[in-house]
Amino acid sequence: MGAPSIGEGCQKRRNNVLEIDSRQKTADVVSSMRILLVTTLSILVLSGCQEPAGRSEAFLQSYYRGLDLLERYRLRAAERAFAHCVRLEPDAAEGYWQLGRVRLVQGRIEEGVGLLEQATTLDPELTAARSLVLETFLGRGKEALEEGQFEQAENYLQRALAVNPEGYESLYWAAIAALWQEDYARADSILQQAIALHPEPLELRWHRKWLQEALGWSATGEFADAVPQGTISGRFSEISAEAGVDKFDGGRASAWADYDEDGDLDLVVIGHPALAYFRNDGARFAERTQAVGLVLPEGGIGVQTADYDNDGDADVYVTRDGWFGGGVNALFQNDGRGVFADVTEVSGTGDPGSSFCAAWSDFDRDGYLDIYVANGTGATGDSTNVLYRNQGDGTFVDVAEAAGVAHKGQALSTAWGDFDGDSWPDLYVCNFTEPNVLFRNRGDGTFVDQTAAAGVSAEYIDGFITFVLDYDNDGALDIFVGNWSQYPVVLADRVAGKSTSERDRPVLFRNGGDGTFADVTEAAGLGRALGTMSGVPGDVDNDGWVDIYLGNGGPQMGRREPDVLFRNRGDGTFVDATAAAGLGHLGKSHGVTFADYDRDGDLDLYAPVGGAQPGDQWPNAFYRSEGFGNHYLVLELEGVESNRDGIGAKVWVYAGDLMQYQEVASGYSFGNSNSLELEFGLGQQVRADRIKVAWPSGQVDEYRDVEADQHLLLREGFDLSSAEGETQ
Amino acid sequence: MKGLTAIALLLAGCVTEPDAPTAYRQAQELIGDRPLRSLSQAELAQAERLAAQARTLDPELHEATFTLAALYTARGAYEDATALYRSLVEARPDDGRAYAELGLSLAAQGRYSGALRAYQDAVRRGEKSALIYARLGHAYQALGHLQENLHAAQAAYRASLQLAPEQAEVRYQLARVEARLGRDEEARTLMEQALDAAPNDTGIRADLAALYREAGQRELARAALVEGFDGSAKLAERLSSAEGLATRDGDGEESVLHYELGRLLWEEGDGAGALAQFERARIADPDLYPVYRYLGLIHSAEGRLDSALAAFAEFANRQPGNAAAQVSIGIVHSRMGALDAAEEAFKAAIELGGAEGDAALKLGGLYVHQRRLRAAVQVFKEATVAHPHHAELFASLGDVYRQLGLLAAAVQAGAEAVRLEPERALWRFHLASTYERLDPDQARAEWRAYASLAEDDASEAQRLAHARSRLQTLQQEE
Repeated sequence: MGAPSIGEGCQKRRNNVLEIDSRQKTADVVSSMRILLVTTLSILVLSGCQEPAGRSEAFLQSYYRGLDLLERYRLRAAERAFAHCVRLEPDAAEGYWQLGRVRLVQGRIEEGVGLLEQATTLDPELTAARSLVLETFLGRGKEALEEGQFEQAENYLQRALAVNPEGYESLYWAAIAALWQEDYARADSILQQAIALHPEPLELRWHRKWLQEALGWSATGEFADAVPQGTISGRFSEISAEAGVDKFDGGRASAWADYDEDGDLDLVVIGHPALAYFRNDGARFAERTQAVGLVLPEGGIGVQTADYDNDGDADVYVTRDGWFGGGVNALFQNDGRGVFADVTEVSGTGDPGSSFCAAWSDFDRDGYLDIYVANGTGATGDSTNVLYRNQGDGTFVDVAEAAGVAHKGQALSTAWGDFDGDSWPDLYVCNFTEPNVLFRNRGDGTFVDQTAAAGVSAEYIDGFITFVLDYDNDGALDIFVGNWSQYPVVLADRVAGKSTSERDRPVLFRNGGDGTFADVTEAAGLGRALGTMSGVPGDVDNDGWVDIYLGNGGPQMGRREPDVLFRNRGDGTFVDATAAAGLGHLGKSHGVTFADYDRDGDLDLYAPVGGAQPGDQWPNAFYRSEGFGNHYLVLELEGVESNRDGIGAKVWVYAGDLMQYQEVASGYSFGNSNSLELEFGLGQQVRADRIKVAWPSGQVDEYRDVEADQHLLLREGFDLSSAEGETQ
Repeated sequence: MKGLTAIALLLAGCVTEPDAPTAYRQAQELIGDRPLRSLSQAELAQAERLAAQARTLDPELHEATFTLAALYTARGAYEDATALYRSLVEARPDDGRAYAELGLSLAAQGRYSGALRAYQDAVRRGEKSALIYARLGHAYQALGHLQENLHAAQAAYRASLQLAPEQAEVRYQLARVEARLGRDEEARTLMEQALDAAPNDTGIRADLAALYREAGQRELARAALVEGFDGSAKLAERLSSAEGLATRDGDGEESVLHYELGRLLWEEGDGAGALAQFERARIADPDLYPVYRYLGLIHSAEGRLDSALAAFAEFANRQPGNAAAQVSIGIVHSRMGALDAAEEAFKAAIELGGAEGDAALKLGGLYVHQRRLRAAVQVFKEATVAHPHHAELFASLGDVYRQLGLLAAAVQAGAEAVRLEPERALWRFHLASTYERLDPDQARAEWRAYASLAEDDASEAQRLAHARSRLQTLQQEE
């Protein structure tokens, strides 16, 4: 205990008594223990053990003053107060203890450690001081890892190992440091030792399994992964380096559009710290960030593309603050040639909140796209969401309060969708650690909270991201909420092959079509914990059933978690097909996105990879789909009376016994979005019997007998022949 | 007497065999509405005993756990407090107060990342007070080696001030953050406001003076410090009238003002004035250890080597892990001709981490002076391993190798110094000198490189003349 008031030995004895007492359950035993307690305490008191350790008044005054200053972060003054204690009573361990603590807080590690060692020499039972030495080495080591100073981390963690060679933390972090230094043989040796000493924690086994697999060693089978693995009819190839998009940083979000209007999809990637623009040049991408003026050196969180000024080119909105205080959000206007101008100030879209995800929608259906910004847990943990109404003249005005959507919570994600089929886009907001909210659009510029009636609060999990999809092809939008779970729970679920913790699972809400939703997660086979930080829907294998890809991870330097592909089996269930599809890199992924960048009719996948800490940087991953042997249609919408992107347009595709439904959307998940083109897999159907588009303006277009395997431009109010349909 | 009272109270409690609510109530009655740190040791101990008893008898009586944890915090047993607050957080996951107190106990241990999360959890659970935001600001500030944390600290302090604008100390902390963000003007304004609100707070005054000094506003710095003496005297008077610990928030210590004024004068070249201030600071607070370093520097600069040695020794005594202190002692010893003592001091400094390579430079230099060149090589070589980016160590090593005639090694070390600091003319000079005996072409190239770097540097005039003469000779020989 080591406090200046009570003799340590007496304290320990008393604690023993209390511990014994706490284990008793029945009233009789409690009563007996009371007597024992009274007797023991009386003996202790009478024997004089409870007398204070006898520090002088001057010592105590300076000691308490030091504590008070320490708590107020007045470190220099606290340091002087404790130094005074040491001078007053050089044999009192407490003075050295607290002075050592202050020195540690000041970053004067060696001095602090020296003082703590002195304290434990004076009072060998001052275990708190001894623990603090160990914690210091561990803490400094972890901090150095987080800062990317791996050698320094190694040094501290070795010292931690020297203090406690068999401790779980010492061994675990020494192994993690070795992994970051790519000293795999040593990492494996430490992990082996750690597992022998600490057989319970799954994380050690998990790391060893991946390490051995990565090195091509025969796995020892120490981690029994019980997640059922599904099959899929094709594979992806990782080509990020080859394609020139292996941006190395703390990856955040990505967005696709033909920004330079040369007929293929270019890529904007927001990272921590920088934004980057990659021009699609066919086999490779060219990094053209500076040249196109898309410069945001402090980076941000999310990036969303939309043609907000209806001039036919793709503009970019960047959410910035998030957890990092990067600055106000930014809007970049495209000049039509793929060169951008920062119009944040003139447009009035520079929300300073703790913004994560922003989502575009023409919520009032006036033909101009509006933006809803999810503001969540920032520096002060308090932020209000914003709804910027596009005034049609290049400026926006925040109408969230008047519209009834100025929601205050830990909003990390949001998504628009017409959940009740009344043609007015509704709004779903995902709040981390708080209930989610569904706002129904009343069609008069205002919204009403429909959460309770719809049953979509998902308050029983820690929702992190959301997106919408029609997973069961019934023509009604369902809602997916990704859950961010602690690493041990994620691993426990892998071993169990099912959910082991009530709060730790995603939620799939099936839209009943009557304004209510049902949680079908378990039935859909999605009920296990994941560290989901992003995710998108997409029919990866073009079988006509939308699949789900989730980017997973967490901010801890030791957390290396694979992404997951859930293949939709078309019967209301999903199966983990990650490994079969050649996906699932280790690391941590944020704003993953699908786009058919090579226009071969299947979805390719970009995954910004990286963590929150400066040292937790990874190369982004880019997976090219090698094809899944099914037919497809890719539909690009162009609004005329509606907004130019057709965002909010509802599209039904009928092919044989398949019916699929999608809405055009930009902005969901972790502030990332797939390309605005809608991809429909047709399975073995060679044509779509019917395509129906309901535009935000109210216009409905229908197309019949459309050949499969085409990229088509659907212009509002035009038939296919006059809509520049493009056949591949 | 207090001990006897405590025993009497305890026995009274024991005899009646209090149940949990009673024990808790007795603890509360004992504490009353007094700040915990104003309780006597005996009272603290007894309150702890009662709270622990209540907690044991009824683990669901969470208020008893809160009280016990607060008592641990009061006497600095933060680790024990943390364990209790964690149990409270587990038992009452929606209770913001438990998270808030957990945050404080973690922060006081220097576990700021954990504290940060705890404070955020507290805020999420409705604990949105000025105090919590201020503590959140402290935690972010403590993690301010990352720029974004400074921004977050700024936001947190602002939130705190928004709720309670009169907090001088929070304003002061915000000013410190602004200063770290390079927003000096804002920092000064906030610091001035803080000092206006808390004129007796010496820490604020000293930091404001430092801001003035750094901005070149020396008169303002001086005025701020001098003005503090008056307030400090008044505060001391007030404190002597037994207003107690709680009134000492202002950190009213005259020593700091003398120390800061001393630094100001020393920087202005007023050695005598500075000495007087540092002496006063020392008398006012013998534990203000940086004073001894300045005393040593001043005495040393003015040739009073015995006094300098005594001051540095005092500094080292108070900072036993400080390598720079040992270096200073070694320098004074060597100036006094006590080379053995100097050697010991430099070696001690190396043991303590080497003061960024400075100790090795001095020890190696001493050996070179004594013509113990092999020993010098050993010292420099080891130091280059410990400080691989220290160009001067490589240059010195190269120089000793040259003196030993080990030219290849001399070139290698000299070239490394040049690689580390390519703009430093002196390293080129040494390298060129080495090449003279090895490779005339390289020597010519290095002399030219040296000449171009040194031509506008008056301190290099003599060496430059030598270099030009050597260049001329080498060109003639070509």
